[in-house]
Amino acid sequence: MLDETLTEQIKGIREKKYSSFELTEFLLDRIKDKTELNCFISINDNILEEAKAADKELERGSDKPLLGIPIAHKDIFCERETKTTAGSQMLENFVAPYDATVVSNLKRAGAISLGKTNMDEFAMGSSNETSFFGPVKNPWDETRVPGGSSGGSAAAVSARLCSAATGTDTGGSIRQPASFCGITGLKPTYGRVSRWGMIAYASSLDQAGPMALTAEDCAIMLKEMSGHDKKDSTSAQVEVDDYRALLSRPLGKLKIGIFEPLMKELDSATSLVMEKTIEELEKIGMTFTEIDLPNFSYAIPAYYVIAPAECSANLSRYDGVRFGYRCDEPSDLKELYQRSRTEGLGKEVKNRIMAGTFALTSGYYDAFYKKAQQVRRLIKNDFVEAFKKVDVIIAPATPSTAFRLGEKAGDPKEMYLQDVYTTSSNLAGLPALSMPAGFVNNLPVGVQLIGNYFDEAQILAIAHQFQSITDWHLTSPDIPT
Amino acid sequence: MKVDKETVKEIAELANFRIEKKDEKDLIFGMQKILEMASALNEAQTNGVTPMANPHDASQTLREDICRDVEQRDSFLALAPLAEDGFFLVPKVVE
Repeated sequence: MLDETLTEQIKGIREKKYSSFELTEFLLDRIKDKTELNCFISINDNILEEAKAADKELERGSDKPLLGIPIAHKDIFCERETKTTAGSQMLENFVAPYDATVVSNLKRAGAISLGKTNMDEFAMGSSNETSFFGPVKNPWDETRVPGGSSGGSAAAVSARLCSAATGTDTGGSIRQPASFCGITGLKPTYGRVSRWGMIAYASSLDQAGPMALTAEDCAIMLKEMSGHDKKDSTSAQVEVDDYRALLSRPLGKLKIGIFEPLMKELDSATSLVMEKTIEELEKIGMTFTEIDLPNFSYAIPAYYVIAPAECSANLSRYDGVRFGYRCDEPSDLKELYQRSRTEGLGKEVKNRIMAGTFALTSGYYDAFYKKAQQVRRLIKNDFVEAFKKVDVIIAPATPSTAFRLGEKAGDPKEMYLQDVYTTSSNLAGLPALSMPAGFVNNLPVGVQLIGNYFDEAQILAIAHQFQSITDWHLTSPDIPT
Repeated sequence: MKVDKETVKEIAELANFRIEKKDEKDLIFGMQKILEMASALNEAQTNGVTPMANPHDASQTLREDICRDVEQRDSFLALAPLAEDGFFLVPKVVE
């Protein structure tokens, strides 16, 4: 049971190799053995009952695609009668009165919720170190970070505490931790998955996606998570593909674009991983061609204006009145607002709210916010031009392998540059995935595939066919117990 | 772009934070780092470029003006740190 993928677990339950109850018990024991990783903020107390119910449903002939499969949710998705903290003291005791659409879609597909995974506070961070509930440790090396902000989900899948988890990606928060933990993670096209019930960071960039061992598992998850939702007006009215059915289709001689300046920035070991990945992809018929993304270098500066600006507006709702942390004995209303926010929010969140508020002030709006939105269009236009020449773009996922806990805590700029290869897809709204492609000094390295709008099927199929001739995605961390 | 104590004080007021003296230095540093990175945008050529707020340039969709949601007043009030008789409680605002 230990190293089984989501696909294998679905088969295992369906073919009665084990029951959902047995699988869930096994995973709960494993979570207990791995508490030092700090992957979970909370565990669903009723899960064994839910597993029993799923087993009965199977007896009755149900054919729900994820029936009885324990899935972990990033603690940013609201789940009825369950604490949803967003990794913040502000929401330490917040119990959501409803399920996020992602949660209800997966429940409808038969999945059961294992628990809520740890994350950077309000998804602001690239190392999981900003979580109020303490950092998550990387299963490959516990002195290192798992990446962020979906670090708990990535580490949980990597350590085999669950076969699949949900994550969210605003600037790289699925792909960077997937790369650091040696798993597959997909950020879908903006609007592919509903954001309803997903605690907002930067609404025009936030997107939920699957994290699992294989592209096939991500394909299964994505199909169930996706679709138009009346409750999220930004969710797309575009038909959802049967991603799994499209994984093995003949891809022909697809053209993959390479933006050379990105490759030149890599160290020699990571560069070698990229070269070998390209060689493997050539074996399955891909051809490579150079592309130009002239405004790529502005992605990080544009992101760090747009995301803080949107977060300063989104997080204004935390004022100690309707929900969340409230300071003790405020003397007046202003003190209630100010002290509740100051005491309840962490340092990184405050930095971003402050910078975002500044960028939106009348004196600086044009120079920062409007300018960033103009640059955002230029970045999108560059991708649109590139996709006239190529079908998919290949890029590194991260500038390094997982770094040590605390290593980048002193310099936020260093931390922000973690997103250098990922933010452009969020700004443009394109789908992108990170797949395990090798190791440097015994640490996993991910490679990124960026697809055209709503063409998740294509990047998943390429990743799947790459994974059918390599086994990086099935290498398991040797965690001392 | 230089962030100083005065900037932090002004922005904290707008963002509804109460900044203690001991935290000022950290916030100046944190804001400064973000705005330093953002200032690289000055070099981008954006004359005549329409700002983009949504990756698909989507406009706000409208729905029929029909009430569909079930009344959930109690469950939402239950989330409040302080509520009484169907109201959120805050410190007195009118003498």
